[in-house]
Amino acid sequence: MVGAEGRVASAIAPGPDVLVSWLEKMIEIRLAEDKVMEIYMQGLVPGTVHLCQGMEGTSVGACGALTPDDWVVCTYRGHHHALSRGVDLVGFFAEIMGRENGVCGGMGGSSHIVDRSLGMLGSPAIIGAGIPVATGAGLSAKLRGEQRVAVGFFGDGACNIGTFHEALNMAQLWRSQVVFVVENNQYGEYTPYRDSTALADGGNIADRAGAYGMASAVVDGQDARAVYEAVSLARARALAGEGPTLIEAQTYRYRGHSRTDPGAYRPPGELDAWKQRDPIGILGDFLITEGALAASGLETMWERTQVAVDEAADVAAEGGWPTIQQAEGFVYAE
Amino acid sequence: MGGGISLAVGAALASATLGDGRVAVSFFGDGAANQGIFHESLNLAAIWGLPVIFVCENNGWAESTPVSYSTSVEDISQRALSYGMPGVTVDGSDYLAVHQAAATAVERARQGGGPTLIEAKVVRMRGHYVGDPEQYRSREERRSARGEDPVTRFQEASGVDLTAFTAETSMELDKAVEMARAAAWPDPLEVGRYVVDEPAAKHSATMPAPTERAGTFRQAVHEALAEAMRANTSVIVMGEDISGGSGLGPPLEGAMGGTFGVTKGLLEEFGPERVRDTPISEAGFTGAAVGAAVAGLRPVVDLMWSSFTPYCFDQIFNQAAKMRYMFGGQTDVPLVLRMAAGAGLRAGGQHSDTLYSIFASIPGIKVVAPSNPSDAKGLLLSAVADNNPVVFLEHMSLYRTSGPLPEGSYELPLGSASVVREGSDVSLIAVSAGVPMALEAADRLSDEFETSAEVIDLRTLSPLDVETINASVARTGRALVIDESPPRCSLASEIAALLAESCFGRLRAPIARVCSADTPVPFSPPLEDAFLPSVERIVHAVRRM
Repeated sequence: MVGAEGRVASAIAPGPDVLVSWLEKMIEIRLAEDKVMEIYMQGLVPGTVHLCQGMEGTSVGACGALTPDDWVVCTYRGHHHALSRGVDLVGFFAEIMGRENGVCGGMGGSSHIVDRSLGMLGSPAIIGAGIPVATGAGLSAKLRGEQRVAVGFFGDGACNIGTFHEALNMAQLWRSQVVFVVENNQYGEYTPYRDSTALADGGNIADRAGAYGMASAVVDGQDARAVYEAVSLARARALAGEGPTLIEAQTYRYRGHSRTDPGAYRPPGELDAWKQRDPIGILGDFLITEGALAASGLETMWERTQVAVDEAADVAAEGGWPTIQQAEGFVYAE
Repeated sequence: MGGGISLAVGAALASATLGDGRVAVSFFGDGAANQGIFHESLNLAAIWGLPVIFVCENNGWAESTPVSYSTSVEDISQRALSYGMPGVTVDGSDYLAVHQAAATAVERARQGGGPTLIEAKVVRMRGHYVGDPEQYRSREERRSARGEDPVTRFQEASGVDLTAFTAETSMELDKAVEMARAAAWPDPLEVGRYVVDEPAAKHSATMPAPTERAGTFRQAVHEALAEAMRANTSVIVMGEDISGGSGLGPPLEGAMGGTFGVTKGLLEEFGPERVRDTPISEAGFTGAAVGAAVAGLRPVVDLMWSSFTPYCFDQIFNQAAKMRYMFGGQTDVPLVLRMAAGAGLRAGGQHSDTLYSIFASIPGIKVVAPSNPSDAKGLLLSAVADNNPVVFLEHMSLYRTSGPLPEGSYELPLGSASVVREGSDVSLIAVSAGVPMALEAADRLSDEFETSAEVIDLRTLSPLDVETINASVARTGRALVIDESPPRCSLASEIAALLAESCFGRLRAPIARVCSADTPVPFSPPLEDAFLPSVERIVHAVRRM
């Protein structure tokens, strides 16, 4: 990682047990997303959904670097962030179905799975709206003298909206305890990011940090360990009062932008090429090579997680509907 | 602050599209360089390679805040690197240095080399405003600023003696001030002049012949755009993913044509210059559309969902709506802002708003919300032909609905409601998706309760067709307004107030409103259904009158 001062450092490597738990979490996210699609086709999911298969490495790696006290602001494509922070599977599915046992009581839906008790501050469905929110949370931590950071996750598309610019300027100026993680999944809705994002020749989105005098890093988002390392260092910098970092995690979404989008605008072969670098495959192979996990253990992990996901979705579907009386209480604080 | 940056991008877009060889220059301060619109505009200008020069006059102070308190880098020109754009810092008090930097940038822009950011570091010799005591500046800093007087420095550098010229100019200025002082005040009775451009003839509508042809609402909007673009090459459309998400090349298989498929196919017929995919930069491209509109184009912007418009509210509210009025009628802003609106699709709190009264309350813009394909086509063609900014709201539940759809081009007048069902006991005043609901309620009232309901489709929310509403209510004596927005300060409230003022003596019952609940739009289906107006609620409300 390159700091504003050009410094390179390294983070404490997580142990095998931790890495195995990350792998299991990534499998949970993958299977949960597949399950969302399944229950969608069964008519259990109102509205639309924005799935994240292929992007599990960014959220699991980043959240692996955080403590339960840290804040997270994500986006409408936020299922992986929510599950990485530990949102309960029943509350997850129930929210997507609009049931009262959902994490937001059925008020938010797929785009807004937020469990405040897990440090989640929001998941806007307005592009870039979370970036200043994360900046403010990081400022709050700094002013209150708290040893926590805020992580703002957002997509490549959000890097062209004004809030990106305004928030990064303020974050750097005020040395907010914030880490910005751009999940560059190559497409802003249906448009390749290089068609909408002016960059210097051969440049990356992370280079825009230079316009604010901010530290930056580009990491392989398919490698959860690489994301972890970058976020760990950025977290340490933020807590040391050295300011925020802009991290670009390069990744890919296997599905289209939303449920109705087949992703047909993608060049042939692109999806397959990315699937060769699947985040679950990369970490699984690493753990097997290191001897931390047996191939049979990996198989059991998939099976066990599938059972947990199926059961959670079934329990969620038994939840009741929220009532108007409940909902009215949510408009204003008492 | 910063609103002008996007206007210059739009003017450069007009120049590039019309091929007139002009260059646009935007002047702004150091404070504006921290606004989001700066970022969106520079990115847009860079990806489109537009002939625009951004001149940041960094005078060291944003109002009373020094630049070091507001800007995280020393040189603002450094920010050009984010966009792969040349960025230079020059001594802004040095006339020749600025001239040279500008000449290079202008030459580059004219050659098709795209935009440049020039940061001119200058001094602010006076306060932020006349009478600013400037307690926040040290005496030394103010004194040294005066030492950088660009006129003195020009004189020193060039050796030209400006004494005689200064005296002559001073006299000219005195004379001009004297003349301005002697002039009369504008007539207060003319305060409403210049708000909108109204054609001399109230409307030159070309009504369609009755038709057997049916089509969907989506098709109607698409056909209106295609007809408008065929008729007038200055009409362009722009928005996120509208050409199909295929970038600037030929459309790939499966290209979407916008989130709702409305613009699918326009790229093939009109090309990428006139069917522009934009980055996700609502403020930047809406501002660019305003700039393009005042510089010769007639842009139609696709904002996707009405809930995204708060990001570009400055461009709508402060720029598009006020330019004509503030500039004394010199500038028309022929601009259409299309957007999907409305709830019922389980799209959640941030994708379901109507914002009817938000837009309808702004002087200087017109607001259209059609309920059927035939009206949608004719009203959109009128909106594009109109010389004012028009917000065109397309209710999401209507896209797939069908109805008669005349072929060819025709215009329906803005500001004219339509009585879609005649009745004698009560007037149901509805808009957009509320109209089919009101018609169904009218059927039930007739069948089950022998009540004869008249249904008015407002079609245009601003200007509002007060005559048609009044005439109906004066006859029926009862008025119920159906409005999908939350009730407070709603369109329904406005119509109720107008009727109370004009029809009080004719009313046989209190005016009633059927609105949404006074909450954001909930996601859960039973809650969203309860939130929205419904046939049931309309019938119930009429029964209580």
